[in-house]
Amino acid sequence: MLDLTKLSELLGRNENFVSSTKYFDGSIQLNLGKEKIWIKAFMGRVILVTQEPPPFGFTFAIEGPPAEWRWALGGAKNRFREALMTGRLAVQGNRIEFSRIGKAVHGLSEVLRRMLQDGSMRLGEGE
Amino acid sequence: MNPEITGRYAEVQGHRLYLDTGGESTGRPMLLIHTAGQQSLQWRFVIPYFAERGFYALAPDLPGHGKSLPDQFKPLESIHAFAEVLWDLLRALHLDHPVVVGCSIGGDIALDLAVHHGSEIPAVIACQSAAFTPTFPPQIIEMGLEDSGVPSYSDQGYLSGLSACGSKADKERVAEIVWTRRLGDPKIYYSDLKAWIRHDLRPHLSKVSCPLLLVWGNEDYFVPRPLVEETVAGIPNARLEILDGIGHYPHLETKEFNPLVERFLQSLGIGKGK
Repeated sequence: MLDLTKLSELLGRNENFVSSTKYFDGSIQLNLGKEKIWIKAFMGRVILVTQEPPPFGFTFAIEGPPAEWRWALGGAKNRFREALMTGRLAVQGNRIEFSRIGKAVHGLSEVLRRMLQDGSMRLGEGE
Repeated sequence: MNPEITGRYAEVQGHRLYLDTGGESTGRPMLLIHTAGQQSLQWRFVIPYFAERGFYALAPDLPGHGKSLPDQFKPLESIHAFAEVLWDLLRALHLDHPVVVGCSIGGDIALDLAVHHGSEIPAVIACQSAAFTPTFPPQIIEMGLEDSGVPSYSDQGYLSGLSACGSKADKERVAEIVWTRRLGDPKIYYSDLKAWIRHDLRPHLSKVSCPLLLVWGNEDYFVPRPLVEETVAGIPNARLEILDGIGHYPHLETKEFNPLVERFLQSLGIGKGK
């Protein structure tokens, strides 16, 4: 479960996400176990956040089981990059764009950590 | 006489500055100022030449460049701010009446020093620069200040360097120029260009009291000739030397650069010793 309105608002206020996506026209999909979140960003703005990914796909997706997302985001230290580098979380799609907007991806992790901490994001109990 | 290049550090205005030096510190100081995004390495052919002729040549890495750490890790975005850092560096090292040589943003900085400290400078040599250099669209610079806006920065630097050299440039030197163009941080390079396009000394040119030589390679598309000619026309004691077939890096592209500077200084009676 994830509060989509809050995710959109927080991404729109996250300096790392906004500045890095200033030169980006694409979408980021989060595959959180069975749950999918699709984020459309365009020129530093979050245009749409939805749980129903459109049929035309994504620019890149970040995926992994809920336990790995929890490991990456839920501890005292942000281990999101470490999870991506070590394969706990995987990237699908356009890896060049994923790399190019690395600062936005870091900003996304900052927002998700905050939401995990305040309970507006809950990772797949039972999965 | 010491033609060896020696490195040292100095603390100025909160910046930890690195500089290459050559010659005895009792010699006439010659301040050498590098181009955007670059470093003191650019002057490795100039330092020994003038060290052997009795000058004390010093080539700092500007704050944020090379081995120089900027105060609070913030890039400078003003030509005048760079100039005042260098002037304070000279003071900190107890060096006075320096000859000032610069290229590109280094040339703009040299011109700024000529405006603000010309009475204490015996000669300025400003290459590929002008009083007003709005030669890049602000949108390109804004993109460059964001990392995601400059993919393949290294290749872009290489290709930009290659295209900016003149048709008569020394081939080995061109290889070195394009190698060094791959170095550095895009944020620093584009901060330099931001300073470059915002710089405007035109209202102050008549204040320049020191002799000034503008050197312009005529195949430099970064700095159009009218901007250079406007600058020469506005300064009371300035002249223009045009290098045929040379581009944006005359101090590297041609071995004629050092003798050219030496002849200019000799014409002013400036030689070894203070």
